[in-house]
Amino acid sequence: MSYIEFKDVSKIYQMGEVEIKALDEMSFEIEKGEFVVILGASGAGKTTILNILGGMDTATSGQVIIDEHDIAKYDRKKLCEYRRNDIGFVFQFYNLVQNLTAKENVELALQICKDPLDPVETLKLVGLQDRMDNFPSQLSGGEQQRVAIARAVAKNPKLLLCDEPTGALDYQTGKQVLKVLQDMAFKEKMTVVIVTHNSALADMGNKIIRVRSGKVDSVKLNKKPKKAEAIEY
Amino acid sequence: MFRLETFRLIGKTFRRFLSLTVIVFIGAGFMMGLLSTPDVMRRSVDIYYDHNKLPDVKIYSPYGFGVEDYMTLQKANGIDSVFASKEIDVYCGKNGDTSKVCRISEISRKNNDYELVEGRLPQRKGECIVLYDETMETMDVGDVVTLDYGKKNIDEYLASDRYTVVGIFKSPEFMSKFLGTSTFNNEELQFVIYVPNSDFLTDYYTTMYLQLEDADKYMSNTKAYDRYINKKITDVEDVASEQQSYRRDKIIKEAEETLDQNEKLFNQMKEEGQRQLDDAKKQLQEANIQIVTYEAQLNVLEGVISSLQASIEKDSDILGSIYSTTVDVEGDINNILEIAGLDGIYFGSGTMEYVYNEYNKTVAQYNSLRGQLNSAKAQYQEGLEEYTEAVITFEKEVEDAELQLKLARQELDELPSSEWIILDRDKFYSAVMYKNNTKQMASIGIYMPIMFFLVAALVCLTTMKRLVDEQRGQIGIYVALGYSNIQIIGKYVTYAMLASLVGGIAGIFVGQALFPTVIYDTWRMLYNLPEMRVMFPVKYAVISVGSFVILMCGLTAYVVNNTVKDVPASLMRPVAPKKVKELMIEKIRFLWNALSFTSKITARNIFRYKARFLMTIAGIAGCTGLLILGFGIRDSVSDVVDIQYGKILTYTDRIYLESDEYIDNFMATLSRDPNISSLSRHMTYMTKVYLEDDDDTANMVVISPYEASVAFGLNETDRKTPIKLDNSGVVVSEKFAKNHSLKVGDRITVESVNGLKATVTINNICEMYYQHFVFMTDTLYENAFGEKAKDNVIAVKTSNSDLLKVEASNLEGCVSVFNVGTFRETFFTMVSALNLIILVIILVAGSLAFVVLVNLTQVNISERVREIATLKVLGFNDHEINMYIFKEILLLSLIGCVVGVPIGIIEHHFIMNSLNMEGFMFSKVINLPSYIISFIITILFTIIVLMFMRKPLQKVDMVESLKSVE
Repeated sequence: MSYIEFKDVSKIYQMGEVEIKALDEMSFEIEKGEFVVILGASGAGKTTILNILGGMDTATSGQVIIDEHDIAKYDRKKLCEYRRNDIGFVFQFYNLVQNLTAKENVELALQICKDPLDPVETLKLVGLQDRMDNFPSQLSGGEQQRVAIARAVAKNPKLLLCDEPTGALDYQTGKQVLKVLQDMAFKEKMTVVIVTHNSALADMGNKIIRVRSGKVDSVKLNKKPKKAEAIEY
Repeated sequence: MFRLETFRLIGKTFRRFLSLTVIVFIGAGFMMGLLSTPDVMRRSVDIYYDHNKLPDVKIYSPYGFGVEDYMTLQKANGIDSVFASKEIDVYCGKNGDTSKVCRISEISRKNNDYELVEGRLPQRKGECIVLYDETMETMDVGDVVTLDYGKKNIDEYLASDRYTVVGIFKSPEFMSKFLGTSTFNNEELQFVIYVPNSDFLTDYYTTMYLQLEDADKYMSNTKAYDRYINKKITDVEDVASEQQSYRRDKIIKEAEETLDQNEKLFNQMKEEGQRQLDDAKKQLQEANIQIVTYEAQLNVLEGVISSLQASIEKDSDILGSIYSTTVDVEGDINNILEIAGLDGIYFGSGTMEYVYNEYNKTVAQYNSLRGQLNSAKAQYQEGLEEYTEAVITFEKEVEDAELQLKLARQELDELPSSEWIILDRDKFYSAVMYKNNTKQMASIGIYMPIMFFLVAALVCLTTMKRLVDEQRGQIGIYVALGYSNIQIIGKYVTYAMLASLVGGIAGIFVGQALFPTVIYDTWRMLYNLPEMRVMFPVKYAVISVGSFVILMCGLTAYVVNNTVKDVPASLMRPVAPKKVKELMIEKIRFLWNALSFTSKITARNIFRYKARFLMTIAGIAGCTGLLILGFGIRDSVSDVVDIQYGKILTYTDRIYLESDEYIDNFMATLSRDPNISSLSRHMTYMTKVYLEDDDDTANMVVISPYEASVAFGLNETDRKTPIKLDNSGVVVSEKFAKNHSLKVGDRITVESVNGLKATVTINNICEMYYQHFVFMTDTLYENAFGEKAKDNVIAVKTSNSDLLKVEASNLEGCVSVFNVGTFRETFFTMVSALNLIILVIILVAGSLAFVVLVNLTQVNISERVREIATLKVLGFNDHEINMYIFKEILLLSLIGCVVGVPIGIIEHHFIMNSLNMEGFMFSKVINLPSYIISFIITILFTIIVLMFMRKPLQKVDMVESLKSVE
């Protein structure tokens, strides 16, 4: 049994009279420590996968098993627990709290979880040991995103979920961020899922899941993931 | 198109629009309600005054008024109508009790100044109607009232001393539940009784009531009315200056005529007496002459007798010669006897026998003459004594009569001046009280909305700023499309204007319907007010709505203008996050590190948004301040009662005595009553106090320092330092000193009980909340006036006032027993009227807190939707999210509470100062529980708002965190 399993997951949005099937009995598996890239164009169902996987939304039907627990059946409160303890989320727009310094932003997440990592260590990990006491507005986009990653990682989650992590970044800084994420997976042995429309990122994952129209288009295992530095996009 | 956009914007940001509308609704409603309340109060009463013809002017005269005075006033210019009335203040009570002070007036025939609310009018002698009073245990129809005029005889004034109540009336003259003070002992009037005028036996009037021409066209209790009356009253004064001496002159003339007559009579009697005396004197003189004559005759007879004796003793030989001699003698004697009116004596012709006979006869004659002389002498002596006595008596009587005449003339010359006392409504007890209350309402009405204005400004500023920030992109597009700045500003100004117009117009209607009614009803507990007259002062409506519309539009224009000044390109980009500055507290590292994250965020947020910070502080502080004010008012007023009648006047009852001769008996008898814990005596009377600016009256208390320490607890104005009376000067009460700006060391002239004047130094000023007092030691009184103080009051502290009343009334010399408790109860009833005002204040405070807090929370949430969504994704649970937002609001509330304390104290001080009533002084102390309750209520308001705001927080969608930055 895999670490993370999507089993026949459907998500149906009721828009007035019309039913929109965002996910149509989708299934895939992710192993522990894998670096997974979920690829898809707009409207393919990427965000829905992200929402369900991140515990922000529930599936209409099917099973979502994370480390032997079916979160599809979780209620509001349990989902909150799940997000709190099992998920590290990296947003496209970093979503740092503007009023907190880099270090404090990391500490913020730690405050609520059971078995956190040391914030300073984590910030060192993402290469920001010198910017710890800076406020987000004093940091560049890449730096902000790295703080966001540190914040997610420091929670010591079962799954690091990233939503278009380079979407708001320029090429160079984007690559720096990808490197950090790759390091997390390969060096720190963390399960990382990147959801993106940018197929250029596909080559750097162990597993590439392509989705289209709410279904899995293809699942490809990549024995030799490209180094983040080598990615061209 | 643009206009449509505005409406769409309202639909899209409806909550925000609503919060603007609500703050204007409350603010304008308040402004309208409070501004128009005094007008409603004035108008309702004005109609009542006019309808019941409350006199504009009342005149008293020390000599009363005669028919001529009435006729003159009636004919005078500027006077519409005159009503002459007879009044008398007496003691009365029902069921035989006569301890209450009451005013008896005749029922007016011409003026319908009273309104019968129950029963009927008196139809025969011994029937009366009494003034309606809902607060006190009063008379009912069917009760029998007994009257007592103290030492004076009531049958000289009234046809009966027992009256049966047949009806109850209301009168605009006695609207206030304080009926004023009696003319004879300055005690509170407790009843007003009207009797038919045929029951008054006196032939003069005591009071004239005037309606001035056209005065009813002016609204009572307004400046316009005052101005008009001040102008018109000169007409009355003119009449007065001509007429006021008439009655005095007439009285003097009559008196002089009597005097003249008496003098004439006296002179006649004096003459008559003198004549009688003169006659007596003449008689005496005549008697005296007779005595002298008698004595002369006796001498002659003595001579005769001795010569006859000699003849008899010699020889008969000599008889011959004797004979011849005898013949001679005979002639002589006969001559003498003739003169003395006695019978002639005839000598015999030469016989001894004859001589003997003659001798014997002469001796007998002599003896009888002697007897006559003696009795005449005795009579004379008696007459002389009588005469002398009569002269003395006569002289004394004349002297006395002359002195009396002189005194009578002197008295006439010294008769008090006949100046009329002309009082306008400002001097009518209830009218002036009501007027003051109206003024107080007006000052509150101006002051209170200022706070709402300020809060509305801040709410508008934060709301519009947020709206414009959110609309940056939109605005950028407009600018790029070529809309002028004015057009863009216009759009948002329209938005604000619509919000404030809707809120304002709704507000004025609700405010107008609500506040005057509530406040009027509250005042109704203090006054016998007529029905409220509903009105809608357009002027205040325009002011209320207009001021808020201008405020809101102005602020919006300012905010939008700041944004459109930017170049379109930068407008399309999101607002650069505000630079976060390191806070002072962060420098204190260990403290900062000890804080939790939510606390750190709270701390940073609070100081990041100054306008929001100010808005919340102002709103919450306003709320706390209002609450402190409300509870403080109650403290102040009820404290006054407790302090005045517990700490300052430590007795429960006062017994008034006829004179000091009874006091020892009273003290001795009462000291046996086990309920009485303290007894003390002093003299009290109303004294005129002569001052530089104006003369005033005060209660004079002449008391020994020891007795003072028993009956009074006098403290200095600091409310702490006790005052000990001494002989070097007097102590005056606080309000009196304040009214006349008197200081310690100033000198004032006061009167003795008999009207002698003396100037004394003010030694100290004492805390006192009701009435004016001058305290003086008995020694100082004696030194100053040269007469001993005569105690006429006993101050008693007893646990059984009813028993005391019975005991004291049964003793000889008791005038009245006054129970402080009755007054206390009346006062407490009045205080309870304040509860409604406090309730209104709490409602207002609450609405203020709600608007501000709801607005703040809304802005906070809308601004931080992204942050909140992110935190949710990070796994913060509902409670943690709530705390993240609410901690800041709670903290701001707490700060607001603290800031509210001084605001409340200042407001309270201000209101208590404007609630200034004649003779009254309110305590300015707010008790600790009031602060605590205010605090708790404010926090409670905050918590209630936060409970309501949990829902929208829960509703924030996590998906917001995934959206791109606007």
